[in-house]
Amino acid sequence: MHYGSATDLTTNYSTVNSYFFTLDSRPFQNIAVSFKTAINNSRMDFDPLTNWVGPMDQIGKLDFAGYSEVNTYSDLHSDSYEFDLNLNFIINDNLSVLAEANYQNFDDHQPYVYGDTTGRWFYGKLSLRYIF
Amino acid sequence: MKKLAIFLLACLPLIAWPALAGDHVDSSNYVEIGVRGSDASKDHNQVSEYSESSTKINGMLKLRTMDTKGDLKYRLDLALFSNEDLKMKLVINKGNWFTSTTTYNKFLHKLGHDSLSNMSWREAADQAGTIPAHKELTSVDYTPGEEFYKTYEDFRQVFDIKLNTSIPSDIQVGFRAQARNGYHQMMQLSHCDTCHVQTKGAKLDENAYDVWAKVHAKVNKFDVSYKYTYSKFNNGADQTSFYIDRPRHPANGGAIDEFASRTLYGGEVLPTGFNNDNKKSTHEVHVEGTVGDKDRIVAGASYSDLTNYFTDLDLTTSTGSFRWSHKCRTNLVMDAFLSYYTMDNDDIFIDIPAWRDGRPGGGQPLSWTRYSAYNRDVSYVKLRAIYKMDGNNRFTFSYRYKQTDRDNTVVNIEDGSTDTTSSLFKVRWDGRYGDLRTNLMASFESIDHPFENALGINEDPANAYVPFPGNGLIYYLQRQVIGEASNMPSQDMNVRGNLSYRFSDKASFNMYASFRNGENNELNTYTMNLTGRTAGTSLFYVLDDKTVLTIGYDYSFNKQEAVFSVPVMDG
Repeated sequence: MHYGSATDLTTNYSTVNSYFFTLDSRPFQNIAVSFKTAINNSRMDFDPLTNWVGPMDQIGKLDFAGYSEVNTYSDLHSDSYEFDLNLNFIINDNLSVLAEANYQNFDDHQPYVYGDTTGRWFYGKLSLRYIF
Repeated sequence: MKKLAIFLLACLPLIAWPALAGDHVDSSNYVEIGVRGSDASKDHNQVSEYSESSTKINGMLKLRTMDTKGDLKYRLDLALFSNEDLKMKLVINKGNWFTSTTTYNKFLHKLGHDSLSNMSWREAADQAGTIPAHKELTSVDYTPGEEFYKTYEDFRQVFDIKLNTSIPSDIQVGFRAQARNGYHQMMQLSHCDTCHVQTKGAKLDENAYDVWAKVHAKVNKFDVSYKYTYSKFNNGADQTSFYIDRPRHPANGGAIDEFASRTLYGGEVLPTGFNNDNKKSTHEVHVEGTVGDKDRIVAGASYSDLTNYFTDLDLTTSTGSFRWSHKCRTNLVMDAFLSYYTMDNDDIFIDIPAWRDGRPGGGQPLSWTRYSAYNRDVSYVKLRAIYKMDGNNRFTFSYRYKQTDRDNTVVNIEDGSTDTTSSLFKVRWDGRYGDLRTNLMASFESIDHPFENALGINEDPANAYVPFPGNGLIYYLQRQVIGEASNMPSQDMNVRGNLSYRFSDKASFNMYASFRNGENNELNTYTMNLTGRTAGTSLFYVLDDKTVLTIGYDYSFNKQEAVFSVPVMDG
């Protein structure tokens, strides 16, 4: 037997805050430095389903109170930050030594279907540049 | 010039970072050789989604070399970081009549792995949920822990040749190849006895090719061009298959003949999720030029034909556009823009067995013709006036009327309409006062019948369904659904502002904010409201001749209503 549908209106929210900071400097004639950082906070969620309208009482076994937790299944909340440092040591007009270090962090406060995606990543580079 | 550079850097603060980091090599030949390495802890699919994260040291090479010999010159930029991260661009010029541009780019994209761990549920025989019943949702991951990824490659070769003809003309011949290779996750849902979700890894091997030729000529004051493009998509991966569960009663496992008569397949291994090969031909014509001293015309037209090799379906698209700009006075420009396109996709006959064929009361025919939701005619007209009031203030007024006339998709239950029409009004003020730049834009759009999922939610509560004529067993094949749902507004209001101020040659400041409010009051189920806000600021500051500082903040917030609909039934 079908009795129609029960409905509940909800509101979905998404908020993103991003900050960035960069500093480019040449403290000495033969050294150039770049420093960059980026910080991000993102979250998305929707209101609990607690105001059902419709034929909920037609079937004794239906448990609409259980839907009050459905909104928590797909909450998204993450923080990330990144630091990047570039150094350029100029030996002479033709030769430079370059170094880069990058660190990134991602904190997953509300794991979803891909599991807990919290992670950290470090990257480093050291190179010699010859201008010809 | 210096002031302009500082202003641009303030608007795009991240430019400042590579500008100094790149230092003095922008116009030089150089070679850079080094080592690089990375390491990741915990999960690396998000934190390094587009980067390698293996714990090892690799070599790297960057090279720029350019030279000129007579009227022949070339420039090569090369960056090799790994087998999955490389970039190249080579430009060769011969005099001023021949240019060859070759580019190649390759990078890695990690795709993540859905373990289906949330796909587990079982019906309860009591409201307290303590007695398990028969209906359940189960899942299985056949490749647990597998890393899914794809590498994307993009190669382009373009030749530009100026012709030695009486009127200025040139041709362009190009070729582009794109490839996606790797290993991705595929899923299959069986709903033949109970809900059973399966997943496993599958090889990804997709290639797309474009080859084109373009002819361009300057006839009097008009630029005229024609371009033909042939495109092809090829899927080289092996077909992936899943075992589809045998249809049967979800509670007792019986009634196999009855449940098999309601499904198209089951109890067998079948292919799934395959992107079919296809090809596409596109013709484009473009005309652009000035008429007299006060008028400018831009017009274009195109025709394309896309064929799916597997289904032999054709999708044709025709477009046309025309823009006329007229300078009424030195401080007033008006323009009109007309645009039209039409899409026509072949119908396809879905030939399937009758429902419950051979069973008592069954035999209802289910074969049908699927008319494409692509099929539509879309046109719009836009009128715009740009009025420069004085040296400090400029106003822009515009109005756009747009109509989307679909052939087959209903977007309003009440009148059965397949059309969406909208009127958009927009006004913008640009101000310039000394070192202050500012603009403010406000728009309002009224949309009749925005796209919606008509008949998408809410079962008809009426119980008085009657058996089919001459049939005492079957009351209906599918319950009537009567509710409309949409995330598109029927009224949409936007306000946006931006302000930039240059304190001096060494410091500038920028801030922006926007607000959006919309609602859809056409739905028969609920009124959908949405709100959006963004704001941001950035500061650019030259501390001294050696140090540049950039700092910024961006914020966005969106709120939108949606409805959940659950059918209430038993049996």
